[in-house]
Amino acid sequence: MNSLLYLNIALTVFAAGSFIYGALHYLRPHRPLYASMIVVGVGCIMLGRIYILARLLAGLVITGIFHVGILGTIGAFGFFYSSNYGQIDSLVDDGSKDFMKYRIIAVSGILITAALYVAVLMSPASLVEKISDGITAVSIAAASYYHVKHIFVPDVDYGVVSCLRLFNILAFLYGALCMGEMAALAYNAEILLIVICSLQCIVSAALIPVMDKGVRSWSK
Amino acid sequence: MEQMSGILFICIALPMIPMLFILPDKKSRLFLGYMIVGATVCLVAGGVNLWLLGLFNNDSMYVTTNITPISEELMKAIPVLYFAILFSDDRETLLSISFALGIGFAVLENAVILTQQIQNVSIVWALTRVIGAALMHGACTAAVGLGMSYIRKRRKLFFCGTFSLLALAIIFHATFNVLVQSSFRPAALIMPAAVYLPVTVNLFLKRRKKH
Repeated sequence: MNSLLYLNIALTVFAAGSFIYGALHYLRPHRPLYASMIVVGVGCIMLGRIYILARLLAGLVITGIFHVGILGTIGAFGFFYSSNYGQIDSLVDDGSKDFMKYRIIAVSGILITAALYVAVLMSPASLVEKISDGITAVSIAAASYYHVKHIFVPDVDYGVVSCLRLFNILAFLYGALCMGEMAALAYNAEILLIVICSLQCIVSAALIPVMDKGVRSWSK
Repeated sequence: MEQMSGILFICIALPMIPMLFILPDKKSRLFLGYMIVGATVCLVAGGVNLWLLGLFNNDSMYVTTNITPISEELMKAIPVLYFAILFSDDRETLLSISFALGIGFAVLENAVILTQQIQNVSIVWALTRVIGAALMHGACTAAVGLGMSYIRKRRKLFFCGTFSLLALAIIFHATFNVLVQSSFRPAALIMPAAVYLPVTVNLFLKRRKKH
């Protein structure tokens, strides 16, 4: 698929733009670790895309096999998960029963990811592809739990989460789009792939500026 | 030929051991020690990579672009993790020892590849290996070392953060391996240098400001 090459070029460019913007602002001393982790997460997306692009340019295949390009998505959602779980969650959830409602709502993030993975499982894709997509889905599901939770959970003391709601919506959407991309590749659905990758371009480019806006308003 | 990596290890890494007892300060001994550890990891990785190659029907392109980046980065991370758990989680020390480990790994790897491709080597080849492979190994291990500096300070960040940094290092390594074996070889040189230069300039400026 020649379109796959062009789509990956576009995805690399948009993710790189977002990463460079973030790196210039946040990969410095005395900047919030949360923001730095999100920036490195977007860096993972960019590197994963560069790897896929390099494979395609070298004439190697990316479907039907296990390839380390999936680590770009796994690493990115690992950073998103780690930043939300390690840095923000303890500020908004003290573990009491009052927040049970939001924890249950957050499970919907995992369920949506799982539902999208079922579509991959039912596809004619190879077993290796289904397993590597499954591993990626686990990281997306884990991060989605906190993205959904932080979209709905109220701010308790610090007014931190409300500033990052839009970022969490975008990050959750990016995860769902990654699952959609896997399904489109598994079914070899070219038009669906073009639509999904175009949306991924927009979302990945917006991730850092939106996070930046949120972090600036919280540090005011 | 199979013994060659062992012979090279004896010739390159073992002479550094007596130097360990001569060096005056603890830090220098630590960095040199981790360079020797890096060469040892490279020796072990050579054996593991051969086994992996056999497992994947000798498809060297597939193995070098997908499997060995994972095995090598994991093996390089273990001694750094050991140091972070047992001795110190100081960020600067971890960054330095992990970079030293990566360079030690690259030195032996370069020597092994040199003996394998002795007919085709040139000054350009040597510069390619220095700018590309040596910096790539150093940068990848240093990135993992950075994650490990959170081992005692922030456990919640340590597990996922280190795993994600390991993923980052693996993709970086794998991308380098793809590019270096394709017609886009110059891009493989630019990649590690593009990471190394800004970080080093930043460190240099920071240290100058401190003094």
